[in-house]
Amino acid sequence: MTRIQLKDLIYARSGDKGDVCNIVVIAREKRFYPLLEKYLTTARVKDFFAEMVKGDVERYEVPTLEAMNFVLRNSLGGGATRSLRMDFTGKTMCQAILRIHLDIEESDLELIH
Amino acid sequence: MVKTVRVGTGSGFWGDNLEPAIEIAKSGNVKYLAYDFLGEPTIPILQKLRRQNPDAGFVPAIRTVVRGVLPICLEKGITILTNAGAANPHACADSILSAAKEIGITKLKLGIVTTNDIQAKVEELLDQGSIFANLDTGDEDLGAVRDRIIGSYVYSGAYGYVEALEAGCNIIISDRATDDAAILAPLVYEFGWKWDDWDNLAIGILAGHLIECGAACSGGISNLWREVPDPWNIGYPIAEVNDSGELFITKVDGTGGLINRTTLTEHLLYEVQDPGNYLMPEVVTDFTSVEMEEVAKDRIKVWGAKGKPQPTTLKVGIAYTDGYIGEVESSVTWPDAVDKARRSIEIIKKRFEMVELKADEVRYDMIGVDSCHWSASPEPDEDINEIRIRVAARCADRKEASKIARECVMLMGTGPIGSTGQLNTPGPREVLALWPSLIPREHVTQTLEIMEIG
Repeated sequence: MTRIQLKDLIYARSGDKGDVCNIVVIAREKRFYPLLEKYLTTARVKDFFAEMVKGDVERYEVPTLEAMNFVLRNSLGGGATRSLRMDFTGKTMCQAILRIHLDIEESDLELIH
Repeated sequence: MVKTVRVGTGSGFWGDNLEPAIEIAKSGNVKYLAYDFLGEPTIPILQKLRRQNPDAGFVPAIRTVVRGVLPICLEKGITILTNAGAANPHACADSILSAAKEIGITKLKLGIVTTNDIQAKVEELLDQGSIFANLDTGDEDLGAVRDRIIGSYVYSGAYGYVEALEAGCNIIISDRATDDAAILAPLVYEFGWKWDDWDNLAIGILAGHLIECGAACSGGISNLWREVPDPWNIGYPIAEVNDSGELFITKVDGTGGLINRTTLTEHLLYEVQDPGNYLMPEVVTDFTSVEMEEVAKDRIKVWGAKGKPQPTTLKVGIAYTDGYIGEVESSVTWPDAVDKARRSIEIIKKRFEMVELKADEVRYDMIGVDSCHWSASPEPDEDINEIRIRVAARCADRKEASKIARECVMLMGTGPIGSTGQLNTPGPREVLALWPSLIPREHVTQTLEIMEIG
């Protein structure tokens, strides 16, 4: 196992619609995309954000652009106008996700190096 | 001869920089300029203003557009499309016409696209037993907040804009046509796309979604921020479509900003939920096979969107009041700033108990430590220089919410050494909450009216 931080694998951007935050994740290199497909699961993202995300996490894939979209439901404290959050529109959730560490199996390491 | 149509973005939100549009109008070789001014809570806020003043309720920035850009547009034959009408399209129209006359415009055709009274329709359907399920929470009882509803609006389509283009309008305002509609409409009009020509409509939506937010697709809020040239002068995006359905996204040469595969991918999925089903009034678009290729500097070819039949419902936003938020901040400094901040928060929590604060929710943040990322933020690994403590609470009434500032400002005298900068906020603010829902489309109609100078 080798531990790699998402910061080195992806670009990400997030925004809001009501109480839903979405995080766009883009593989920095084409070859990283299969790692994201395999390791960056909805469960991983849901666990990482813990109390911030009260609802489900969904993942949608756009393989032609090596991108995926995470949809985080009930994740903004009730939406921009009701929220008590400093980041009431979830614009920085995309920076938080960069902290996630993935434990990559040895057999997948060739995708990185 | 290939027919090519170029549409530029003038604004992505209310408060956006209006100068890039001047450059686009002058040298962007566009035939249309689309200005979006409305975010999710904007219309209810404007409805509230309109109740206080019958001449208010639209986006006054449109007067800046009239003075700065309209004369260039009239000279070059560029049409402006915008949702600046918001909660009061007719007052917006009067304001545009008076501003145009002031600067000596003698000939102008203005289109006003409005929907029927959606608030009345929501009330009527509630009476008939509709539930208006909340898209965010799944909560089905809009009835529970019915006595607190202050207004409703619907995201309507490009249909009225197209009618206005057929009528030869120079500027077209709507109440709440979608952001994308102002870009789709000129393409439908120019290429004669039919309303069931799903794949072509999908190209228009792809173009619309990519450029409607202005700088956000041309290098703003980008991961590539270090390498974005001249971000103080970002060129706003232009969508170019030809009659073979090819789409290019570009900007005016010599402006700042950056358009490449990364900045466009960042934006393609921005504020989208299921990219396989991007719902707009005119068509459901599938973005999951979209491809991009950089054909020249700051010029990207984009293709691969697929269209599916339009949804049977449209999105409504129902705004209701939901109590008051009180909020206050205070600073502590090195040494031991984190410990001091935690002690301050303990003091405040205790004070809230003593004054029997009744709040629906209370939030304590240490700005500089965990205010944005909460528990995902690691403990600081050094004795940091300073922390700003922030306390916010939502309460049912104003009197309770005013306790937040009162109890926190006391830190000036009661907090740890090195407490300062207690911000005495102007007082609690009323919360305008939004209930997103759907309405069957047959309940929504658009009407076009035309007003003219000369």
